[in-house]
Amino acid sequence: MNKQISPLSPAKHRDIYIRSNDNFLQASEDQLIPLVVQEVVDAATEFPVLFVKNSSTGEFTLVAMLGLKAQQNLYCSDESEQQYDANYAPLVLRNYPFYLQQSAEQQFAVCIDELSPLVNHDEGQKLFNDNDEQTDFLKNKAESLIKFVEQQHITKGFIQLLLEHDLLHPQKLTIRLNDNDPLTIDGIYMVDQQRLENLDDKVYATLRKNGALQIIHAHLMSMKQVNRLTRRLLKSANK
Amino acid sequence: MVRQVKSNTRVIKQVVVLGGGTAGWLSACHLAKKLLPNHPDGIRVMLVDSPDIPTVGVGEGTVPAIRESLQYLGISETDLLQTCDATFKQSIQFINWQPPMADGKMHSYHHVFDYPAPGFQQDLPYWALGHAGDSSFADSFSIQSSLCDAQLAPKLITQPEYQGTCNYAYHFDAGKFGKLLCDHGVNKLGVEHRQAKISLIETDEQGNISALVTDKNERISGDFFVDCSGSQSILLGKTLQVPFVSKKHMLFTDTALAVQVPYSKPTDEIPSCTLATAQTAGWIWDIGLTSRRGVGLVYSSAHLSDSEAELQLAEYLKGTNGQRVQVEPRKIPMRTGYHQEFWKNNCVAIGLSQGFVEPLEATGLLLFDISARMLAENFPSHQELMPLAANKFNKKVRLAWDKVLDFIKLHYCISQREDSDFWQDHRQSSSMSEQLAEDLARWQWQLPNQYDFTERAAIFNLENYLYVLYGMNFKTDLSQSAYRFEQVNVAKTNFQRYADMAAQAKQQLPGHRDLLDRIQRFGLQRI
Repeated sequence: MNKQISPLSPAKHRDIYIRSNDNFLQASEDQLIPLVVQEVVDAATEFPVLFVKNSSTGEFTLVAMLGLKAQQNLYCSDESEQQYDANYAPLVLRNYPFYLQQSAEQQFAVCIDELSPLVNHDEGQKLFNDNDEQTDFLKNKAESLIKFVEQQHITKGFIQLLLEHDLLHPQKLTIRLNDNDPLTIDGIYMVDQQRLENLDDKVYATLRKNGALQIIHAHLMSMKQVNRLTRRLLKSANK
Repeated sequence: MVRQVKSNTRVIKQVVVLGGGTAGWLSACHLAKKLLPNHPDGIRVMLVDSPDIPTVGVGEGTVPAIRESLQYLGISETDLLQTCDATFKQSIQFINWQPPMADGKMHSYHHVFDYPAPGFQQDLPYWALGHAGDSSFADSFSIQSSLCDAQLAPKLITQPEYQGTCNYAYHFDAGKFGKLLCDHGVNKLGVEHRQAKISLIETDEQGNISALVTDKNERISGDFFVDCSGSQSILLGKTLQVPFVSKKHMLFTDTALAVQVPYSKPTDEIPSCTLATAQTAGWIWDIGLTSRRGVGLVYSSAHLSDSEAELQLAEYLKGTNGQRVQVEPRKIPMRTGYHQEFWKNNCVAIGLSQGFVEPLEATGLLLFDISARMLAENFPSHQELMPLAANKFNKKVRLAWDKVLDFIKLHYCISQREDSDFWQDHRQSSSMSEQLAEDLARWQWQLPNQYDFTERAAIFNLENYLYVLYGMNFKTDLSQSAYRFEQVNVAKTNFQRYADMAAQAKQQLPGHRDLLDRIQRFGLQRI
């Protein structure tokens, strides 16, 4: 999907409206959606939550898996006119079409994807009022974007902690769909339960106190949600 | 009868390494990794070097075995790549080792690091009989030479440390690499580092070295000494008087002129292979680091004067768009050969103190590494075991040297170059080992096979010989046995498969400099 991301200004964006995002079509070709640690427990009630490597930096990222192969998204599909139906919608999806970008002077600026279908001239929320002041809608959006950057920072620290204690390991997922050849998903990483159990008591206590342990358990249990994705795939295939 | 060694004889508690170059630190790290100086019962490992003595610091190329060693020592690949100006090396490209081809193009081939897939020998006769058409040996049996020509990296940033799509080694700044080994040895492995100027070597009546005496008259005593003092060979050569065996009659080069060359702009692509371009009386190495190129001419002073050599190097630099930094290239004398023994009494030499061979196949560091690890893994627990350990070590290391010398010689003696005495002298059978001369005679009518490479200590195997022999257009005539090879289509399918795999890999692998830049910023993951 083409994007054109520009910093918001009253002069340029005084007249536009933002339609509410009912099915997150912007992500219809994204199999993996980045998460922050603060939303892992909620996301784990619906999706497998796991770790992958960023293909251009090699760094680990925390993600929710919404499809069973590359470019497949079983939730944000435009095949159905239906509304998004899941227990939880990741923050990245909800923040759209807004972004926070850091300028050369290290200042954060709220930006918008001007090509987003949510941007229009008559339906939804306005960004600036007649006096060129930010509307409450925009103020809320800006606030949650700033909070999101902080949450991403904490998420990086969490991943660093897992790497420091050598807790991540590569895992291959094999999924059986009907009688077809099994589907294999490569390149995903999980917390190694054996290594977790063998952790030094002191380290274990630290993980418990700083909340990392809860996230780890949510991630581990969420792997069962692969079954949910499989069912969803079969259901959409049978339609 | 089994010879009995008493267990109550004197144990070895203190090892002293003399010399702080790459060989010294590599030896100290290998010894400490095995002997555990930090353990209450461990053996102490001390490295003594003089801050005044500069290291040679030229050897910048490696072979893939270095990866296994670094990983074994616990050094992170990210640290190596971020601190040593390191780049990836996937092959050595030999240019002009044969006369120009019929169409006037320069002759060039790659000795790549990927070995052909298991079972490749079934297809080999078909290649030799011409069923792969114009496809070179390297292109018919591996994907790597086309990746080198496209200046691609051997791996993706998502692949863990020390793993890649293709087999690879590194080019790096030898001085910075020494510093990395020093930090690791001292901080992680428990090596003691002592800086002192040594003015006297103390020996006992049995001819063992008992102590190094500093210029301040302090004694540094030890039970065992490792001589990493470079070509001076202070302990093995000077003190213990082990004679040097010259191999100049095999390999004539005896001088190197080395320069450092900046890139013209910071975005210049970096080749992911060493370039080795033949000259009238030697060859020029050209190695790209992240920060600069290292270029040097290795030549035979009997065949080329110093001023002619300078001119050749200047011509090469001009032709490859490089301006040298130093006004004068650094002149380095080289003495090809090795000491008669590498381990005598309680002293082992590792590094240039053992011997020297021109860096054509980047064997310098490899031989340091192999001998250091062999020493560490066979380290005698008692003084009385020392002669037995020495005997085995000397045999193995001498074999490794002889095999390296033969392999280097191969590059010269199968060349058809006629433009100087240097090349013609290399084809004299008196300049070859008997083994090599015999092998070459047979290989004109029979393909080299695994029976020719049964020695396990051989560093260069069947595959390496095939890359060089057939890269050099060596002719093996199979016409007499052609009737045995009827599976032409199977072989052709396999040759095509390599071409397809190469095309696919070219789509996936990043540019060499691009990957190095990203590793500088993000590092590589351990898993």
